[in-house]
Amino acid sequence: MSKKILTVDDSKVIRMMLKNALKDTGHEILEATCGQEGIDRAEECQPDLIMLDITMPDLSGIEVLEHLRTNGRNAQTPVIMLTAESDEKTVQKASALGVSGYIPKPFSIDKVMEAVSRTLNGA
Amino acid sequence: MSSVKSAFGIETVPEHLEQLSRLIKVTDTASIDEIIEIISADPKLAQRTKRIALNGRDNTDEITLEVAVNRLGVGIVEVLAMGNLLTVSVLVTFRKMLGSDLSIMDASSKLRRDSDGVIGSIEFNGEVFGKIYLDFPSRATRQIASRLTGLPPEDIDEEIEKDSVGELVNIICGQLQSNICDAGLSCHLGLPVVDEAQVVSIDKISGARKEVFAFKYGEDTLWIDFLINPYANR
Repeated sequence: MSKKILTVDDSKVIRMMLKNALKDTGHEILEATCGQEGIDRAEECQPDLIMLDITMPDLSGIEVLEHLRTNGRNAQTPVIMLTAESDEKTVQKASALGVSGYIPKPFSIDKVMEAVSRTLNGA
Repeated sequence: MSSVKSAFGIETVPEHLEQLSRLIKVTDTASIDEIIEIISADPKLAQRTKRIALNGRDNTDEITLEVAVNRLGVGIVEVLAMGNLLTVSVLVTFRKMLGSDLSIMDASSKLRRDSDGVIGSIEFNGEVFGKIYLDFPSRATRQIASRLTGLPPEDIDEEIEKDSVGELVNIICGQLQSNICDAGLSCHLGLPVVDEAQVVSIDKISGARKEVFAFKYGEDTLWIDFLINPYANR
């Protein structure tokens, strides 16, 4: 069954990579280019999975995650962090906010696909 | 590996991270014997320390490690250890994101020509302060953008080229920043800035040590200028 995946990343290249990798899965890929747009699109579309960067020019991914978890419709939506920041404190913050996965950049696309599949299948 | 990182299957670089972490800890006590012991365990680091103390001369038998460390100061050895982590980060990023195995070149013996490509830079702030510049030649930039996006080289425009370089800079330096934080020095990164190489000049940073690295990527050379002050706010 087709699911909605929202990618929130200010890098056009990363959004293109993800879209390219996920295009054959049959899922609908939505995009947001910054933190605030990510919150707005998540509210509007209620995705089944959010792929979230941390370092963005407006809101950080952690701030986006805090907002999602405390503001209604996406409190339970699975989130996979996809970020260059992987120090222990940041990973702990994301973990405390209930992320389903944490993939540090650099990543192999196979690892991303595996995490997406596992999360959407509820494993 | 910490339990939270291990729960998410996040890999670390234990050897170099441990080395930097121990250096930061002993810097406060300034025990020269401990510092020598840590450096001696890594022959490459010991060699670089001696060579820098000899102003780049290769005949490192002229000097003992103890004299080299006393001449340079422990802060510079920390910078060299951070350079190890930066090197690992560059190699891993190119392998995972682009499927390319870079080789490390001896930057001191390689002639550096004016770049025809773009330079991506990023600032570190916090207990560690500095800036890193990555100089990508024009031909390499297009190839990198093509590999990242899956688009044919002829479809790559300037925006995608610059965005690709910005993302690689962000990933390479983000890994380094995460490792420095885990080693015990708090710092954060700014956003990457990418410009034509002709309009970029390498800033001078007060109290910073500069290290230059060169990597072979196909027929091209990728240059990195690493300027860091590990005592900025400690």
